[in-house]
Amino acid sequence: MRHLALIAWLAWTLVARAGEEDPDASYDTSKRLPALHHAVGMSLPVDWSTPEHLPLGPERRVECSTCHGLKNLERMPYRTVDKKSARFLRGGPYATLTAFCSNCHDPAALKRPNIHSMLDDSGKIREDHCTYCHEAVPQERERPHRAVDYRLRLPPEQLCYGCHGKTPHFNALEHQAAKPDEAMRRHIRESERQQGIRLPLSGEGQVMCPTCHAPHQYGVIDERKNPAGRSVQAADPERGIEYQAHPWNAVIQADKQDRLDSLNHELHTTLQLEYRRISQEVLLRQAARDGTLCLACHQFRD
Amino acid sequence: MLFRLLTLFMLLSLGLADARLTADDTPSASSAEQAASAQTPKPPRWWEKRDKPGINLLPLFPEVQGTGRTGDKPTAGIHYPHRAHFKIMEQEGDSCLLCHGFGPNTLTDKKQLKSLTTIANEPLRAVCHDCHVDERRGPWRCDLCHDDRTRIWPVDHNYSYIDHHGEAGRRDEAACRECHLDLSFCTNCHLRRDTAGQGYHPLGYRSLHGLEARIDTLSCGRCHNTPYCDECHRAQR
Repeated sequence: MRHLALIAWLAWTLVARAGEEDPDASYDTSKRLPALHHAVGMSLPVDWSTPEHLPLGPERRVECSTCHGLKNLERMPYRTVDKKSARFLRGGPYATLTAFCSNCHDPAALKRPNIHSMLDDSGKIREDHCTYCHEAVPQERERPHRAVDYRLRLPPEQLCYGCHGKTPHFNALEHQAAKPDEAMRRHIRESERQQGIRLPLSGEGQVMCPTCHAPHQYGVIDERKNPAGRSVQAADPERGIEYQAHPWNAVIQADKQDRLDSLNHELHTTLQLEYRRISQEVLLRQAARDGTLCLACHQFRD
Repeated sequence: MLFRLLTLFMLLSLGLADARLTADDTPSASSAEQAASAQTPKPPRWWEKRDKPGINLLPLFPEVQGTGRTGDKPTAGIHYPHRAHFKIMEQEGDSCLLCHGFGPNTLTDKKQLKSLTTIANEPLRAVCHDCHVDERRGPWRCDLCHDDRTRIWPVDHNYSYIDHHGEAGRRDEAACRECHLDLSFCTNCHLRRDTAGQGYHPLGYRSLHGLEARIDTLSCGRCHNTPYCDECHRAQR
């Protein structure tokens, strides 16, 4: 028994060590690319091209220097690579990584379908959209299910991140995984009962994207029979959220300019903040633009 | 003599008792309403609740994070009564999102996002002051929202400023009025007559004010209106 435990420990240690990345390793020494890295070393077909500032190597191969402007990057230990350098990605700095990708790839051609647009022109459900998240098309939508019966491909607190970033809007991080206390949970249950909505928490009792966001287009689930179908009604998922300019924006920007200037100076960035009013909101369990959604969880003494 | 005084005292006592009896026996409609309103007191408004005396220990324990209810956390020394604003926010078409930014974000760097979110979530002085200071559509007493006035007042106020504010006040009165919106803030001290202090004018100024009033009448008018002068001077006209 003792030998068995020793063998198991040794095997685990070897597997764990194999998964570790040596911080002093470079691409030349390890021949390993960082996670989610673009493939390198392949030759592009002759009818494919890259912009002039992203030069291919011999035999039209994609190499480190095709995308990176740092000299001898392949020999640098990974820990010493300055990812914030403007030369880290040629033509940088870029506001988003996808902005860099679009140097070669057409964003429109690679755009994912809007799976939240679940009804076709005749009002019929696009069942192929269901199976992006569900293992099978749920047939009984007219009654509330237990979470396990949704047969989701990932736990609901992780599912959205398959397509969406973790911080698609401000204060997303502040809400994600926050665990409401007993008083707030009571208030949430009361709001659910009074407003006929669902505000689901994760299995651990934490806030997740679907707590506020309704993943199903209005009309997919009959709200009269299943509160999971209740959401902001006028929403058009194809148009998405829409904003309108508002005079408060000038006031707010002036109010925050000094603090923003100071932050930008410190971080060497050009961050900005703006205020616009929501003119159309989508896929929310209640309206946020008038605060109804917020007050379904938050309550105030005075 | 003593007999006359005793008789007068007895008559007066009887008269007062009679008057009390009359008032008690025939209560008027207004007194009934007053009694009813006294039984069901009007709920105090939020700023009246904050006026109740008590010791606020939160500044001594900055790590204390409130009692769990949203809005209880001490935030930058500013008290924002959310419920009190629901109605006016609805009327103005504003919502929680005016102060709590939920706009789209493309930043992925957590450090940058956290710093930017902190700024996005900070109280909006300009928005608050638009109603409470500029237009005075809401209560404008600073300490109703600013728990610690030393955080918002100028540095020179920290050092016995009450004894040395006269010169600065005469030099730039508008600067004082940026915060001290009520004239009563000045007159509560300068015009009080129940102390032997100098107040605004030196002792004995009443006897000497005629000359200065003729030289610079406008300076008197900054604090005093015509009825104030008339109280004494009318008899002389």
